[in-house]
Amino acid sequence: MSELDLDSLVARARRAVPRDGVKAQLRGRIVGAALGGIATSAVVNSAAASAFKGVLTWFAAGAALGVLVGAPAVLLLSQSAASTAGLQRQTALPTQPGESSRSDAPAPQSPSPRSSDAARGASDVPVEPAPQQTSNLPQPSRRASTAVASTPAAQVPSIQRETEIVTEAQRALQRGDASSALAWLDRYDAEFPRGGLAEEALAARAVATCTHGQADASRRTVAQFRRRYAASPLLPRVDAACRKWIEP
Amino acid sequence: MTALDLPTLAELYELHFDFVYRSLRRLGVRSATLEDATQDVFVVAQRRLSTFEQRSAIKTWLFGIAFRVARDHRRHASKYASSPLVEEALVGKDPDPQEAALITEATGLMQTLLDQLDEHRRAVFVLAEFEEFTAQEIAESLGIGANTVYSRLRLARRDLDQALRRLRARADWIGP
Repeated sequence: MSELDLDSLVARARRAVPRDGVKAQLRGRIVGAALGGIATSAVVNSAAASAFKGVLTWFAAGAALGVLVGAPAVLLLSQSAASTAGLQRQTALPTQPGESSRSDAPAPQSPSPRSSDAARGASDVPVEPAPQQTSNLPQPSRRASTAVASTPAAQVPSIQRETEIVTEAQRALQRGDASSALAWLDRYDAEFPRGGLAEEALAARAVATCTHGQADASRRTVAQFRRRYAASPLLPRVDAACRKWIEP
Repeated sequence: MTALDLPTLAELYELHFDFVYRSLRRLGVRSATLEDATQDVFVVAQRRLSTFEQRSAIKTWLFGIAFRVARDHRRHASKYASSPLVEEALVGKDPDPQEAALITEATGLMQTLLDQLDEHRRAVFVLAEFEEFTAQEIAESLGIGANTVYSRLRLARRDLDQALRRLRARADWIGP
């Protein structure tokens, strides 16, 4: 056993860090779960109940607006709208000693007009850019990019870009435009074959195919989702949207 | 300062993941449930972000959340008692493999010692000695007075010194 005194022991233990890869592994799960209000502990989940009430409120609003998609899609969308607003509404972060301070350098990419759209409420009906056109590709907003400029390269831009693409897909679903949603999701799969929001993207794809009435694709996608994410909290929503296509 | 100046979840995660993760571990969350606990902290942080008053630093605020989440996870730790042995979540990282191994060893020993502390003393010790917070920051984070901070830190050090001596005495008795 080490013969270090307490201070020396602390000084050495202070240098311990999380295992390699943990941060990246957890990013999609945590950002996705937090946006959906999904916690693991009983105490936190008691608070999650109130968050779910908020989701139901979104659902009610969606129904009142005559959104012609299934309830699961609305729920997915509701989370998305809330999450997008959350991700885009704030920027400045007080820096702390020992923490990386963010750069004031201009963002590497031009701000997307979609950013302001995304910050609007779910009841807004934005003009859909054609996902197939390169000039209309979703771009991380200037504010978001600037805010995380000091973090490791490609990490934050990646998750923000993933979020934006999935959000666009879900917003298309909200408008009942399953084709556009599927186009966004194709783009997501192409850009992020191992993305942190793959679960959310596949859930949206399942809802989109089912809404679109593609019988074979629906069954195939739902089966794929169930196989990959058997314990997913999104599964009930997928099942509800796809009930008529699923074998009893 | 307006709500527009608050950090986003992605920013919180990028800047403070390490801090939250290691703090939870040092507060007694087992490695097996550390990922769940980390998720809980960010879920709560996301939910309460709009109420963050910014009179204190964001890390101070986050630690307050982590402290409560860690307490909850410790209370439910028994259900994980039969979990297979999980590797220590915090490890040494150094170009010199021997030094890295020493850091990992010290981390394991420190966890054993911290596990013997009262949770309130433990929280003060973690913030003061590992995160090098000031007494004022610790007081804000835990909602206690500065005098209580000093008192708990002194008692924590005393307890840890005793625990370390006890541990060494047992090791000597049992032999190498």
